[in-house]
Amino acid sequence: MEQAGQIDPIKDLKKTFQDKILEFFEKSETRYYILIKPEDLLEFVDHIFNKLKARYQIISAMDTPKGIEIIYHFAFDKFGKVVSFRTILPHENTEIESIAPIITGAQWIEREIAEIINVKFRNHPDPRKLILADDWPKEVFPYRRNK
Amino acid sequence: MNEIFQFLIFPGALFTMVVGCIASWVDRKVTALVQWRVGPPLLQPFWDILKLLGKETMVPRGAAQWTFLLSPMIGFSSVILVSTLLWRSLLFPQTSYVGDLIVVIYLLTIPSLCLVVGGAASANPLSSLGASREMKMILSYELPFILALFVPVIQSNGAIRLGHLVNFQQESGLAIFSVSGFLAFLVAIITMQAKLGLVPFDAPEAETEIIAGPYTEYSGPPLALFKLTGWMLLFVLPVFVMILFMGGIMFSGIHILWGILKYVLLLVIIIVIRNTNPRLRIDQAMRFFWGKVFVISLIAVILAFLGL
Amino acid sequence: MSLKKKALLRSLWVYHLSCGSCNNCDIEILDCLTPRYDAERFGIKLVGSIRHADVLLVTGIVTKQVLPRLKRLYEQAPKPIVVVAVGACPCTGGIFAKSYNMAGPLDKIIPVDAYIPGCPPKPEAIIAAVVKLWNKLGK
Repeated sequence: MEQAGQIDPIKDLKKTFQDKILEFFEKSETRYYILIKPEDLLEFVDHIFNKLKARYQIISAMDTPKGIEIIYHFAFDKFGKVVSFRTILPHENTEIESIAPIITGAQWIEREIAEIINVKFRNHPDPRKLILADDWPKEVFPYRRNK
Repeated sequence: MNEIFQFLIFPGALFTMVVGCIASWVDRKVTALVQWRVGPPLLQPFWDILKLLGKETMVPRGAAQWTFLLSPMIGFSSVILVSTLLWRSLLFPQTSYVGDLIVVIYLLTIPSLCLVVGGAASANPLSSLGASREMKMILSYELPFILALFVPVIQSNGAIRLGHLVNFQQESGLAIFSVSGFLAFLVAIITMQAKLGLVPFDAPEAETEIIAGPYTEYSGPPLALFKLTGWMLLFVLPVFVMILFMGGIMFSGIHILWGILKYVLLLVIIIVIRNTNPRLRIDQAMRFFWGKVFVISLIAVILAFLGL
Repeated sequence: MSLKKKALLRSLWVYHLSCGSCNNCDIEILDCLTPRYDAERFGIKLVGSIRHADVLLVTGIVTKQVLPRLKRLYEQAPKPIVVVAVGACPCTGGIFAKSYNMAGPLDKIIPVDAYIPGCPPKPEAIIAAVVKLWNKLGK
């Protein structure tokens, strides 16, 4: 923990992954958005969670015209900064690696995203249905905007 | 004819019901004042019973119908019988007969047993859980209770008549002023708290855990009977303990006031214990009764045999 | 007023049911039972079993998952029972009115006697609604 307290996490992220960051957006002093490719997700999450010791917050997902956008939020409480990794999956093939093997706490939100917006999380340890009603029709995904 | 009047009106059903309701009001009011609230008005228990009598009775599907509906009535009638017996032995000591103490002890177990039977007869897993807990409680507190009741009997040289017990105490000092009598009195208070189903021994009806325990499936008039039984026990049990340990009530002049004060003292002890303690788990309660309370009651009996 | 109705109004036992609420209305209902507002002086008591209840306090939009359970609970309650919809959600759906999981505002499912709007309603609003309910039932 002492080591993580002395490194500035943003500088460290920029240095380690200079070539893999597609877009780096500093919305304010405390809020950073980093656009990455879905294939590099596990590397980023492993580094930020295990080496920089960030606190995993939540995953959010949205249906945008470009594709399904999934955002992973991590917090550095000592610095008061929140870093979010954005990935965009094309509408035709919404599959991504699950981070539940690294972070157990991400299991339920990934189940919810799979159920509500139809994203397949590969290697998820427990892909059951979570919150929709028992008699909900199978192929209806509430948060997909069907134009 | 006289006996029927005594059973139904005074000191039987009607008298016990009214005083029991007032006792339960005292309990709720004092609890409210302890919690910095204003409590319910005096007539609240009567309105509760009247309202319950006006609701529909529902018997769950799969429940044993006759058992479900009869168990509150049997518990209710046994409490009325106990009250009639106790007051008859106080008011007319010559009407008590040999062994009526044993009859009262048997009758006093019936309300708890009816609760077990009623809870087991409603086809509900929570009720069965409450019924099994009540069974465990009965198994735990009955033995120390009976041992504690031995002590006044031993002290009065083997009289098993309520009337003789009262007379003996009024002649040669209250049982509570002797060492063994005082220990037995403490045990009687603790087991009285468990018999009434009050905190800290109300695991059978733990509201935060098993909804309402054995009472869960009861509605309307059967529930009213169960609640009335509980309230009447709040009146009958302290009177019983008073007769055994504190010399009962003498009905002449100032002694009536002393009698009422003795009853109020017991009620206050019950309410204070109820308001200042957390609830014990069922295994903690069983360990408490089979451990400390049983040992104290044994010591009290031995001391009574030795004459202390 | 008949004795039966007078006894019912003077000793209302309340059963609280959350049908998919965000829990803010549940907290405000809990506030009404605390010493500051003390509902017990009117004979109002919180009970745990639906079979002991006279008032069914419903919060939350009724989600599709809870719908059959709500209907079963309403049938299990001994009549006469009073149903109160607490908060904007059971009244009209509140901010979740167009949600995919909504199974209708409460009065499409069971008959409702009083509506308490607010998100969440203050305890004073809940008490005012109880008074209005008394006056309505007393007729």
